[in-house]
Amino acid sequence: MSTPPATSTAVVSRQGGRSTVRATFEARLEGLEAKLLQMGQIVQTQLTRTLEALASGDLALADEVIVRDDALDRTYVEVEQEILRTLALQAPVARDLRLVAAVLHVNSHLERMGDLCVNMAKFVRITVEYPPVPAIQATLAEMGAHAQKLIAAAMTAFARRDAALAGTLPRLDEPLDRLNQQIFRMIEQTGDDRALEWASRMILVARYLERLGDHSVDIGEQVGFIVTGEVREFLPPKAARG
Amino acid sequence: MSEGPAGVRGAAPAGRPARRSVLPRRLSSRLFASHLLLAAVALALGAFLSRSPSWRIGVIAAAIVLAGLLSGATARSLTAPIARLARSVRRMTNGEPAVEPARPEPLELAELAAALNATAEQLRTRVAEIAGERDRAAQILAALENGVLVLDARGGLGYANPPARAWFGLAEFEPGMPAQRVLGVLDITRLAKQAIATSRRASGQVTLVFPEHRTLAVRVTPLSGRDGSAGALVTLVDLTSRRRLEVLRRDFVANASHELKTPVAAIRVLAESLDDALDDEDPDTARRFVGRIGEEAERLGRLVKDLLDLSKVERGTLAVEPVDMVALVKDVTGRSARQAAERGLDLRTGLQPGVSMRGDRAQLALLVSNLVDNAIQYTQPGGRVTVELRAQDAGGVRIVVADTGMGIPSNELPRVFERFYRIDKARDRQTGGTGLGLAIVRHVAESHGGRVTVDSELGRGSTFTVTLPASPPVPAPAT
Repeated sequence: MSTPPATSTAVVSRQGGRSTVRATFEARLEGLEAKLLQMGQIVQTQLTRTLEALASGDLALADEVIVRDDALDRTYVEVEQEILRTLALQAPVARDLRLVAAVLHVNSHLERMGDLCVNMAKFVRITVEYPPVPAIQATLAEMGAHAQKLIAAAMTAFARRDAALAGTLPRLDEPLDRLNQQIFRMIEQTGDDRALEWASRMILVARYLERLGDHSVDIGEQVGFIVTGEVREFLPPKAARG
Repeated sequence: MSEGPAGVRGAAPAGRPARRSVLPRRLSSRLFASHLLLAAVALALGAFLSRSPSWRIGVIAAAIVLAGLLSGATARSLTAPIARLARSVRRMTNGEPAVEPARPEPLELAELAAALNATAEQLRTRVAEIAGERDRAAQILAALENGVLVLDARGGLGYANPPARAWFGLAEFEPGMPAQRVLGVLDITRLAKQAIATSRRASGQVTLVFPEHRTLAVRVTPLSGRDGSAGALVTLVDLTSRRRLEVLRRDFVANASHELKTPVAAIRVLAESLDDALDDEDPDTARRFVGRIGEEAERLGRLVKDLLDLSKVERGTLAVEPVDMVALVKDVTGRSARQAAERGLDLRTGLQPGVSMRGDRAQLALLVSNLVDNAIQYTQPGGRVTVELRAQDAGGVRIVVADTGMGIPSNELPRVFERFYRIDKARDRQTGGTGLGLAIVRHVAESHGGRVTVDSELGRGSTFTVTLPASPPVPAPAT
């Protein structure tokens, strides 16, 4: 990709009614977005592995998640630098500006989601010697499946600029909140001390999964922003989020 | 004037050269006739009036005027039909069915019109053929079980067939938008670009989470158009069910051998211990080992019986006869009553009198007993198991077995009818379940043309509902 001169935002030459500056800019935005989608995919893989490691107590897999977070962080920095460069050199306006701003937001959401996966992966080592409570484990797996779907839906909505799909995210997020509450109740009923030791850690895992859902809903809000230009918080059906 | 015939000649259909000699002769003969007439008139008048010079000038002038008028008329008689023909050809390109036939007078033009009509007819047939082929191609693509995508060289998505749309949850999209943006997946674009760059096939796998969990095999074939444009044809095969079956088959073999091995190993160890106990002349210990060997043998027997039952119901042959369902359910629950009482469970029945159906008595008994045993097994002491039998309004039978047991997590629900699938393997080994009971239930229900569903809430209990038609479909599905 050739970098256009920094001072020139005027039309240099026209090709089929479209300036080369514009074409370069669009290519740049496309590259930026591809990188962001890649971030989204890394996060999804990280979550899948984290859930597998938690279910099976696979320490090697958990370590892999922790190590792979570096790749995510690197991509995060790359995307951010590319955004700053774009803002400085191209001075985008209107929808382009909204897109760049949204990419900036989504990028940091994804980075934090990656961190949440690492936090969960670290619990595998701590909890592996305690007996798991099958019912809680099953509920966590269910939460994990919901979180996976939510992240995928958020990234799809972003890629397609599908504000309608983005608008359905709070509804998809609802089961996560509900299951999170359910885990609390289950832990109250856990009598065995050693199981309680395990379960108390799982409160945090449930909390992180629920946070993943919230981040996904926030990504959905950015989709709404790109399309409509309005910053509006997607409110859950019952105002009990956060 | 001489250009007219030349033009017509040029437009004559290729492959019919005979026309070339015919057309100019006819036109030239007509021109020849008019000029001959003109000359004759002029000469006759000239000869008659040539004595006076002033008259002579008048005659020549009159002859010129007359010649001009005649020429004009000739020209009009030729150009007017040509112009008319041109107009109707123009109308034809705008979609009118045929060139209006020229009047019979200028024969050549009538022939031209006929030739044009033939050409137009041929074109129409070709266009219809091409449109038909296109429609057929579209129908084929739509009817394919596999997904098909077409990408351009820049990675823009040009086409997605219905299965691909369904898998990616795609309604409408603007053709040419970057595929990764439309699909929300990067790998397909990456593979397509690789295939286009290397002009070689590329393949890989993509896992989707949204809108459904799905594993797709991706195969990309580079395309090159006649005009030098490049692109990629992407075919997608859904591996989700195939992979699940594969896992199931592998699990079945592994599980069956494992389940069989465990009691055998236990019996072997216990037999050695019994031998030692006999050497030590310790009859109490020996008796305990004999008891344990009996238990293990019983477990082994149960497993073999379930495996045999399963293979029997899976063979798919039904011995259909009228079955008194009330008696059948009573018989099964009667046999389970002792087991329920031992576990401190309240086993109740609610049977609508006179309910009967046609079916395989032995298999139906197997269905009910497996459901009841399952409910008893997963319900803690003090709980309740109820068996209900009702005739359905639309004909057929409904059997509902409900328990107040531990319940099934909702993400496990779709899998409980799989062979050897157990939610908690460690616990099941203690309770003596084989993991085959519900697989048998589903098989019997389906081979009778019915179905089984389950509702469950963790900690509250599970309800299994079997609906069966009044008689199994004929012939019974050989599944």
